[in-house]
Amino acid sequence: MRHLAYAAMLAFCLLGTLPLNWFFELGVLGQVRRLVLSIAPVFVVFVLWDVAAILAGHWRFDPSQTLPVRFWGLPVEELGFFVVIPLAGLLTYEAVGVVMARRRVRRSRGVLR
Amino acid sequence: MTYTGAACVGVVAALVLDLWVLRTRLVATRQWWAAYAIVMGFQLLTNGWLTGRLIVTYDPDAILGSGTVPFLGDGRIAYAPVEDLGFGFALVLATCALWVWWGGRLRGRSDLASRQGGVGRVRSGGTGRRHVDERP
Repeated sequence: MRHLAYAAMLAFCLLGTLPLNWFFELGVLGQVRRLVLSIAPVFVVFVLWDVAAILAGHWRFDPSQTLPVRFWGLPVEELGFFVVIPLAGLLTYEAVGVVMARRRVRRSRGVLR
Repeated sequence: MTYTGAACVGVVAALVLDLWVLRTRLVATRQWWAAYAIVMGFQLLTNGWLTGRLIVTYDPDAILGSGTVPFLGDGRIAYAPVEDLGFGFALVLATCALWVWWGGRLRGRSDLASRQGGVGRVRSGGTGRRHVDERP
């Protein structure tokens, strides 16, 4: 179970944000092309940063709390991180947009009355 | 370069991307800052898990703090080095800026006039429209 400590954090982020897509009818997850085009460049840059940081010794990952699968010295969770966190950020951003738009509508209706 | 320096470069690069490269100007909107406040709250929580449990450990020479991992102080917030806040800010801002930018471009290519007004515009925070207008 200890090996899943990092993976559990990613699962928590997904459980907290994926439902926003349906709860607020965001339609974010349906826009696969736009998602890939937005997340892929960020993924590449931050994975390069991460690999460089590990080579420079800036940080390291506890092998006993991560899965044994590694890419360029990064645990597989770290690659997942650069998909999960951007996605969670996008869903939050869009959900806030919907909430703010609804508020605007409600406020303008209040003025009309 | 230390992590401190790299995090500063990351923040500046994300701001340049948003303000001058893509010209999405998310950092000038309430929607971005409201969303970022929520993201930062959850970053402190989840990153606190990663750093407090020592899943990730940092070279004291690369960060502002020393080798200790207090909840607060010694260059740390919720166990994580303050540099992580810059890292997270750059990561999420760059993604959201690209998302809004592609929203404008892809919409301009596919369903032109129908989405420029109503819900589509509101959902992308109103920032996609400019790019639609720029297309010939």
